Amino acid sequence: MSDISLSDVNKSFVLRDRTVDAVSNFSLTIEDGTFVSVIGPSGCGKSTLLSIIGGLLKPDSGTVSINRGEKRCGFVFQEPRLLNSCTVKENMILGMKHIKSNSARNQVLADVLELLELTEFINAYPYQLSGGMAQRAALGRALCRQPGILLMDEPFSSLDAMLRKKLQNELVSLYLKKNLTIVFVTHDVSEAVFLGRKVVIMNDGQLIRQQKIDLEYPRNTSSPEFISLCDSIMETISYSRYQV
Amino acid sequence: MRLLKKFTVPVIVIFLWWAVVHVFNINAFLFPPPEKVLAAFHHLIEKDILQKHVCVSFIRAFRGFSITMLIAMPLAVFFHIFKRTFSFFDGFLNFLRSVPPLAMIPLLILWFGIGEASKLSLIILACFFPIFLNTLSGLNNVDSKLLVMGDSLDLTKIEKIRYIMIPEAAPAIITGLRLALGNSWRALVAAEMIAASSGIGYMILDAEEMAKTDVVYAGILTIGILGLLMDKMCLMIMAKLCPWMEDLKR
Ligand SMILES: Nc1ncnc2c1ncn2[C@@H]1O[C@H](COP(=O)(O)OP(=O)(O)OP(=O)(O)O)[C@@H](O)[C@H]1O
Ligand SMILES: [Mg+2]
Repeated sequence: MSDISLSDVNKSFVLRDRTVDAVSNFSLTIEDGTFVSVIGPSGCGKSTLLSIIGGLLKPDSGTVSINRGEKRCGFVFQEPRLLNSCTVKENMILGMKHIKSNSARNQVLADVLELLELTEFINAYPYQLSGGMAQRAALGRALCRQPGILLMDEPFSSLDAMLRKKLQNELVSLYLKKNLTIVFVTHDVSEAVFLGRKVVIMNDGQLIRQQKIDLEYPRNTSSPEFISLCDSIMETISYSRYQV
Repeated sequence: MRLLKKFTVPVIVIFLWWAVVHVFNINAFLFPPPEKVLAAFHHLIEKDILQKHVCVSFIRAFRGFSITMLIAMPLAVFFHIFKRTFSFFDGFLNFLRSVPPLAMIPLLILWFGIGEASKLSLIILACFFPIFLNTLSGLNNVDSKLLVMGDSLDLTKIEKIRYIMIPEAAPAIITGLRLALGNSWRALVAAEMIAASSGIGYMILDAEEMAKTDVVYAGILTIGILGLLMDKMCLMIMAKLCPWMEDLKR
């Protein structure tokens, strides 16, 4: 059974003097419980694709079927998009309508905050957070939904290397434990290969290549297989770039 | 320390006032010294005159302000929802906005007489545009990306209004309300100079006719100080209501 399938999806934006084809002729199926990394140069349509997958943006043509069932979607945007008028806690609780009891909700919240090292900032307002903290709070808001499908747009981009490493590992173990379906946008090749069971390479709104990654979790970033996969993906990206 | 900062300039101004009047021996009728104005204050307060006029003015300003809020805010919400209709009214509203409320006084008296209604309508004219325009632009400028975020959390329409629209528009709305409060207070005094029988504006006009310059000064000072206090109070209430707006705390 496939969770998400896109076929021949197109989405373009009309600017003042031209139209931009953000996503064109895009077909992709994502099996239940797969971790997919999406990679490609800036402006190639990754965020647009993710919004379409999440049902937040309607494509101009093509079909999108998302088999959500009982599952909730957790969406991490490229920018934090926190509500300025709400504290970290209030921002996170906003998406937790699925938990009725207050104490259960607080328990989930506390666990997520602990994981993201934000416990001390539970009552802070967004203007009191640093960029990376805001990004973590946004990540926490998605995790608090206890989603079956996680859609993440460069969620670790403004974190320091240590925390990024830790959260990558946590994400993998969460993925393995809960059998989540994850679509993870990144511009970091090694992150894409470290996390995904499949890496989707995009350029100019189109799907260039899909690469299965059959390495065991947790992956060893210095193994020769890992490095050669990274190199090969890197090559595709730079090659496709010069094609245009 | 903060108190010191706030009071330095007023104290210097009062001192200069005192010094200038005495050094140059200025006619007290034109420019009464501070102690004379203070005595006038004392007299006005002791005889309950000032309190009475202030009360009347306050109630008028508050009434006008609240009525305007009840008209301007729903109208702004309407035009936010039906954006297209706004372009029909845009030019007309801009025309109205360019007319100073004071220029309308003769017409207002013609329409509403010299009673309470004409004063109230002058205040409404003075507060309408700051509240209406700021509320409208506050609502129109809410970042649509936040509403998309709301969709991603499966928020209902009501929840999006409660948690996104209102708080995000709040800074602009607050600015509008503050501007309007200042406008209403200023227009009020003008309104009270249209044949009123009470209010601070009336008190000043009456003192002028009686050639009591010190009372005129006391009246002007009262208007200024109360205006200042009202703005401060407004800010305090808003800082309580919107704890996330750091620039309100100062
Ligand atoms: N709301 C919008 N209105 C107009 N054009 C848009 C809009 N959103 C995206 N675009 C355009 O669509 C194209 C793809 O944008 P998108 O944000 O999906 O890129 P991206 O791959 O996420 O880039 P980055 O890595 O820099 O985040 C860009 O050319 C952008 O200008
Ligand atoms: Mg993007």
